[in-house]
Amino acid sequence: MELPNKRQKSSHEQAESEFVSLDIDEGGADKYGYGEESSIPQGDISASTPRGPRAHFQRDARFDRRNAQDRPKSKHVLPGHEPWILVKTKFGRRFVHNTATKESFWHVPSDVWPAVKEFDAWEKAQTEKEANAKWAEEELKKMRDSSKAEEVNSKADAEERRGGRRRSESLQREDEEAMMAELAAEAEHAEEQDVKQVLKTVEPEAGEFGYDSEGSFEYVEVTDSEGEEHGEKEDQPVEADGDAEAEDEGPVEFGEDDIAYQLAAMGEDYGLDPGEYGEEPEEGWEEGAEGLAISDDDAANLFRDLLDDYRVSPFTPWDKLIADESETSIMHDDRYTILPNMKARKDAWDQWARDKAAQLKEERAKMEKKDPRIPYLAFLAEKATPKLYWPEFKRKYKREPEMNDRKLADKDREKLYRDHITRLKLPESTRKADLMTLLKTIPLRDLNNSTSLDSLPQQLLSHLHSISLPSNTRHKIIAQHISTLPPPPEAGDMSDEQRMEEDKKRAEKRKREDALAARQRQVDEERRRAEKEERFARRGLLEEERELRRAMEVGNRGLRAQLAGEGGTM
Amino acid sequence: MPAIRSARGKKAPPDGFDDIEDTLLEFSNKMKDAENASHEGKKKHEMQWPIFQITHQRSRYIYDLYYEKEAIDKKLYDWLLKNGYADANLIAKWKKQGYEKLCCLRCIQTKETNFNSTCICRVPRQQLKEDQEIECVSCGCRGCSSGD
Repeated sequence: MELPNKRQKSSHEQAESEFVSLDIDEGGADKYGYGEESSIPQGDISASTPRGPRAHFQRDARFDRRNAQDRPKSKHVLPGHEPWILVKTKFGRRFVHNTATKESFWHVPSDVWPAVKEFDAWEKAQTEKEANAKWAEEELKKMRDSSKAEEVNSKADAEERRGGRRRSESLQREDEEAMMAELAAEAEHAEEQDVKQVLKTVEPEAGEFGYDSEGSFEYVEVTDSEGEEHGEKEDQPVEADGDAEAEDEGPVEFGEDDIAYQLAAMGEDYGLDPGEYGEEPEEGWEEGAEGLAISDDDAANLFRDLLDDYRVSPFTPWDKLIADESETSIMHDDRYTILPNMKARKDAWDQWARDKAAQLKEERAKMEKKDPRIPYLAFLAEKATPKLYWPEFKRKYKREPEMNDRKLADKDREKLYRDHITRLKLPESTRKADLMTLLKTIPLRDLNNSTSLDSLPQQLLSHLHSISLPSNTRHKIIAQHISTLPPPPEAGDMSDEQRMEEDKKRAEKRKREDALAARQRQVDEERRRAEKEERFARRGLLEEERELRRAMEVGNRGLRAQLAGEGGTM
Repeated sequence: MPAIRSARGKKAPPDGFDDIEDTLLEFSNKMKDAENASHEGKKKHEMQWPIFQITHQRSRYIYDLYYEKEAIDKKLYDWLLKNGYADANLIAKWKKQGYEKLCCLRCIQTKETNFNSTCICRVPRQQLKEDQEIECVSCGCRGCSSGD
């Protein structure tokens, strides 16, 4: 697919450049030595043995195809060198022919050369005039169409287009009137039509031979037009004194060695070793020429790199991966072919997918979990209104991603909505107070005077109380609260583990203190009980003592009366 | 009569489902296409082959993710089995020696065949004739012997 396009393009370019160079290339013909046999090997033949162009080509099998098709197209008298005429062929080549001696030369003999040069100049002038005429016509038409005010614009446009057509510099400087005059003057030239036709048919094909844009070898023919072409590539008027240089630059016959050399150079450009392309020579390559050996591990690792680079998901089925035939498929990468067969690739893929999945799992575990309620609450704060019941609200916003989040159950969503709507009906002072209480419960580490309103802690955002107030009021309150807070605690740089450890220590200490207190209480209790018992015992003793004393006290009425009295009381 | 359950009250799938959701969706789309495909020009039993093939592929995908690559956790795997994304019975056979590549359960159901034998696709390729191409009747399998 690529190749024909490229070729066409290059030939087109060459055709264009040829067009330009006709203007420039005045002395270049000498320099590129149309008659210099030494620079052009094939030239020797034709120059020394005068033949017709067709005869010459039939000698060389390589050019058969072209010879068969090429025909003389037009002939031009060279004024001043009467027997000689210049013949142009269908393929745009040209040669000189002597009508008297019936001799033909691809390479213009030096005595005829000035005439040919003259002819070139004349031809160029004709072409230019022709182009001018065309342009002037266009210009005229435009002037008729457009108003006077637009004239300036159109002129600029035309100038641009002119540039695009690669007209010569002198032409661009010419003004309109001159061109129109020319247009009138040159209309009669009959030959001009001829020349134009010749140029038109000839030029695109002239670009077909010679070197294409990549410098690869195609046809090497020694014709005048090729010499011209070469001069044009230089893109500057060449002086006649650079003969030696011309010999270097002239078209060169390519042999097998040259091609081999070129191939090697290209191989080097691509960073290949000789063994990696082309066929093997008889002696074999020198050591290491076959490219660096890639070990199996390296190959597998390269394949893994490939998978990494294409950001393939490890959860993709292998069949799907290799069935992909789009441009972005991994199969279009060079690294895909490094592994020898499909089995090796599948193994590498399995291993990679397993490692990658493990890695993903690890990363996700590390990542902070985001409360699914936060986006939903933000959504509620924006959209919820007491005018809608939950089913209505749900129907209205069923397409929103917040309403379809799988992390949050529908039940929870409903509950949050209903609660939120109920809270919206509460007096504002209550809602404010609730918000303040919520703010106060958040630890200083999460909420302090360096917290911005955009990065409020999750604890706050995931709470229903945080969205009960309209957003501007809420922001005001939160900002006010934040401004009253002290800066973040110094230990803020502690890691979570350290913090947990500290918490643990604190908890243990509290536990110990609790235990101590409990023990104290127990001891107190015991002491109190002991005291109580003591008191009881003492009282008992006193009682007995009193009884004894009473018993000892015998009154005047005698022992009997006493005993009886006691018995009576008992 | 059992309660009619709507999709509304469904519990969220376990973590990690998001990763494989797209692939499973593709499988279910393929399955739908296979279900709705025209039967014209097909043999009677040939109709069901794609169904079996897609079931096999999907089960294999989940089996690979859980047992080979360990890319999904048990919770998700159980959930997938429970929700019919993979055929637990087929997977149970894959774990047994000699059944590692089993195509479908019908192919090892000896009681359903005339000679109390397994399906032709269970026969190792070596024991078949040279160049014998088979497509089993039950699922279109071209051979699922472990040695092949």
